[in-house]
Amino acid sequence: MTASTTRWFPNSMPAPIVDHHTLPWWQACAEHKLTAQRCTHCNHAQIPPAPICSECHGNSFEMTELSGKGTLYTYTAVYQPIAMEQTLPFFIAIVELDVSGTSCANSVRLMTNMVDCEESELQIGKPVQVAWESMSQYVSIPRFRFC
Amino acid sequence: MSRKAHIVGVGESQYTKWGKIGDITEHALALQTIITAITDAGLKVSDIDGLASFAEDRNEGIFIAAELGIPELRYSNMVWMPGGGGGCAAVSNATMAVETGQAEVVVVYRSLCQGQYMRFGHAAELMVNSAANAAEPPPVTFSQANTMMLAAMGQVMPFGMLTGAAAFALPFRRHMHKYGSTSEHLGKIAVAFREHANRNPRAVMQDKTLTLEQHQTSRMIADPFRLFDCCMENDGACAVVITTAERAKDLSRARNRKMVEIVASVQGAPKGYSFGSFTNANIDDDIYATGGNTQMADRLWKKADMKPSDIDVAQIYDHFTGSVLMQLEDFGFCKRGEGGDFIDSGALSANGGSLPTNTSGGSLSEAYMHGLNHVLEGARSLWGESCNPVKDAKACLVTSAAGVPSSALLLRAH
Repeated sequence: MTASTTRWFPNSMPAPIVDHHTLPWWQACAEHKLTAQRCTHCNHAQIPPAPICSECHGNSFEMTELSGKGTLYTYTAVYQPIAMEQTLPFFIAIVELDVSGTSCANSVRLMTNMVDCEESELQIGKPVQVAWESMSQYVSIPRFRFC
Repeated sequence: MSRKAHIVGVGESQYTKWGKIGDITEHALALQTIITAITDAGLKVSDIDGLASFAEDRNEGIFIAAELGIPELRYSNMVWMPGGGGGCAAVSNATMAVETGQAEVVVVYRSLCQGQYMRFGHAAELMVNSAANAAEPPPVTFSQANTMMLAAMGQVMPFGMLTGAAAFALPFRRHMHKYGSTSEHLGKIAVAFREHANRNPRAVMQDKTLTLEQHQTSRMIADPFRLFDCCMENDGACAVVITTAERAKDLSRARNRKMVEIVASVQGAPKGYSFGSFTNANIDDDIYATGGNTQMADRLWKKADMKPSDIDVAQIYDHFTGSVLMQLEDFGFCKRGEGGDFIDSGALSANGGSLPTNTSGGSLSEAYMHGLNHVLEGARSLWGESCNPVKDAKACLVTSAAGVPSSALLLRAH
């Protein structure tokens, strides 16, 4: 596990609520590995992981590690706190993740946060990369920053 | 077709600001409002044999039926998922029940006193408070999802995705990026609906005027949505009575009303949509910056053998202004990306616009009843009973939500 100590969000942020299928994705996050669930039959990639592949209905998967690079797809600056001692505004973003160098057949997007930037710097299409925030020994959250 | 479904009665309680309904429960309001609507139709409570609602209504049909003393409940159901996507779908379910002969008189109802329950979007506040009060805060860890909805939300809540404003700002921000739509376009929607509400005594915002400048300087909620881009949160209830053409004929004559036929109704979601832009970052790119209703709209027009230019008045679900703009495109009133120009033309105004929209004030300015009040206003606009009448209006489109699975109705007066 990376010994990163940078914090952007308080502990009072909602923690992940997981089921049998999504837990492996969050467990990989705890090790600072950004993954996609890849169907071993047709290579379709999906986040969050699901019981079956939405394309071929196969149920054999591998968690494929991604580069952590991507581009900003859309964003919003939120001015309402949803946790105590939260810095406002905070930025919810969707990032289109780079799957080059993997066997994934498609790129896949992730809902996340942009950090280490001003609202005026947010621009759709700009390259970003993952920035891990360790909330506890169990939970790390993949945020993103501009490259 | 003598069993073709018609709207024959509507009713609502007083609509108030959040938590201001006074000494009456949401449950009691549901009962009261169903009685108001059935009386408006010229029917008796004992004529009701079906009940339909949506959005995980706390007031379940079986209990409501028992408390109303309905002789025999023959049909009762609830549309999936929270929020307003199911309003027209609940009417659609009632329509199917009536047209297939499962029931004769179905009441669609929605009682919503958010002030008496957890405030929408404030789940986090509760969690935060409980964490603050704990002697020793627990470590941040996983909890288990007991429903598919919780699993979907639990994937995005760690990123602060908890409110509709943020959820629907994301696709609209992309719409702005792709097509150049602006906050001023959104402001003009809010102002048009407020002007309608100013003439509607039922509207929570009847006495509050709104200018474009006030909109543009109101505080930011989730960029690009400012305060006046967001619907209200209210207490109240409303109900609609659906029955067959055969019964509607006599009832309409007795009330000196035109018959309002439910020409067509649809429900749906695009491929892979799940809970739409609330939880889904992987909506197809050509659908993402839309209201998600394009396929459903095409199906509706085809079913009704009608087209957008046939519509005299529209009631378009307005949880957020941006969702109105994108639905205008989805339903084909203008081309994709031209919603802003359409709004600039003044189309939405009941005072001479080409498509008078949300003539009651909608969720932005009449009341947030998860969009069932849009169905009531649809019927009123065709009966000539709207506070913002559209002369000789014969056809009305009603929609339920954008950015989540949704539904829609086409109503016609004859």
